[in-house]
Amino acid sequence: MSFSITEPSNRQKWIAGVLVIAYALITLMPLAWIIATGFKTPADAIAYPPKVIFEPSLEGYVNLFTSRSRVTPEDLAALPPPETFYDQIVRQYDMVITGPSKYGERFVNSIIIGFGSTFLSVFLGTIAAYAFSRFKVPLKDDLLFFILSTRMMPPIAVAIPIFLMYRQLGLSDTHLGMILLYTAVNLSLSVWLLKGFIDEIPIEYEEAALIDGYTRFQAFYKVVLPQAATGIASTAIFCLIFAWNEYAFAVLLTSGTAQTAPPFIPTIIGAGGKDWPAVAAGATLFLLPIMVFTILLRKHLLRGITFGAVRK
Amino acid sequence: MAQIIIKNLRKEFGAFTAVQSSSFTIEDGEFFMLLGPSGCGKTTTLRMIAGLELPTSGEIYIDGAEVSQKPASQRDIAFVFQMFALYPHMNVRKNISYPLVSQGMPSAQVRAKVSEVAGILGITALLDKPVSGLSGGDRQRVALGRAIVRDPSCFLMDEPLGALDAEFREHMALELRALHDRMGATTVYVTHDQLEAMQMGDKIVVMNHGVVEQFGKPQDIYDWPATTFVAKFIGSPAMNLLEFNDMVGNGATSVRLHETAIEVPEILTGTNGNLTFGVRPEHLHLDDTAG
Repeated sequence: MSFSITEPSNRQKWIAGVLVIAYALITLMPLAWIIATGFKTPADAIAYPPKVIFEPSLEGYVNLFTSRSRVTPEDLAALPPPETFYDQIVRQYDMVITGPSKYGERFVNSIIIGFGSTFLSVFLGTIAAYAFSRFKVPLKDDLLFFILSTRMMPPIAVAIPIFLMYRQLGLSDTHLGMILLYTAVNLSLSVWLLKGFIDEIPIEYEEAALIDGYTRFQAFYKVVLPQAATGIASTAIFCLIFAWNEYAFAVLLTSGTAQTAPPFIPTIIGAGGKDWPAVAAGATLFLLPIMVFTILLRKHLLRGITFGAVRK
Repeated sequence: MAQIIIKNLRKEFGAFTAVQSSSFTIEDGEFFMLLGPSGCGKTTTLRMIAGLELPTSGEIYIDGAEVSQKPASQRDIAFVFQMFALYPHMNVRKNISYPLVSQGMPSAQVRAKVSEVAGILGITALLDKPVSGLSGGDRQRVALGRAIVRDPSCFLMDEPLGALDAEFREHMALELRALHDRMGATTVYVTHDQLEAMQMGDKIVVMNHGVVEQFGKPQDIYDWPATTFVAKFIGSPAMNLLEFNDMVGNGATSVRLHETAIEVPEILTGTNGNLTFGVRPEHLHLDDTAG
């Protein structure tokens, strides 16, 4: 059998295609299952054998966004007829809606903290990476190693000191505290990734801008930044994915005002039986922002991951 | 339009001295070549004139003003890079107009100026194209356009033909020289190619190991090399150099090499010791009479 590096044979293309599709199916399976479960009734969600075809219901989403309480059948009968579809769904179970759930707030917290820390990580990372790439920084290599070394232990290893420190500083359960924490964790990744990208931008572009009458800051802003857009976008995705999905610190450091969605979603389970559709609905909605963000930046992401592997 | 004076210019990078106390003067309107092998300090010298490197010591005067510590943006010079350094995220028009935009020139005037320059360089049809698809020669023209559009006091060029194909280089060299003659602005041109320097330059500085070996007109440098380095570096094939040890009397018109008296074109002053006899290959001819 002969191999060619440049042109795969039809047979090889076929095998590759089958493998890729099989892999995609395997990885997408849980995702599809979660999305489907979100639209099932609680009974369908735990049916055995599992139901692949089912009658869709918005019950999970209604339960996700509302707080409900049980009422006696007499009280229920005394109420005026349900006005909306969600009232109707809830009353089938002898319950009434008492108010919105905390999911909306937690989701907004996730957005504020996720995007806030991503912005800060990328902003500080770009400036630091530019300095490391272009200027003579004393002890440059040691500093870069030090920055990288903060990633050598799992962040959660320092959970207790951080917990105590945050309590002392009044940063526990605050948006600012979580943004700072995720920024601190992401910064080493962002400095290293972005330094790689900026190193690849020939210095002549900036020199040309300096000659053309621009200041160094203008040269950075007008010439380097557009060139580094790919790197910045892919770094932003990595930072956002970490901050968005982070669970351990969020459980430890937030409980109310600044609680993000990941520690909140599991708490949905507890309220009166295992409400899997509501959990699945929460998880589905939680996936959306990062999916949209990644799809918007996917061209950059792909180039970002393979960047530096091949010299242009 | 400027005279450039270099005085005792020196540049050190840590322990390495790239340029050692260079001095020379570039007259207004001259096409001036900085020539030397790789690592001789010619590019560093050019970058110091541009303001992209600051000298360790020494002075640079452009048009009478001392600029040695001024940033590049304040020197009113244009620089053509070896790899052109066209802004990849802008099209041809934006690239050429970029130096004008920094001066705050009104956009109508910028447009007029850019079209004029594009006309001179024959790239009008390319103005709205992205720079990524251009051929080497067209990139070169755009880079030149960006340089000449602002009417700078002088042009600095760092091996601008180095990235082009050999056959195209000659064509571009002629174009460059014609452009210079038309604009009349002082041009400082770095090259390691002695042929290019001899053909295009009004004056040449030959550098080696950070030292100015010789400074003068191409023909003078060819005929009267000041050092053996210059003698070997200029000319293709290289000058023949024969070392000999003999006494040469005052007013002598010949030297003796291995029992053979050879006439020299200039009357010599008396000297003694280790001497070098140099003769260009084209000045030798074979003869069948016995010497």
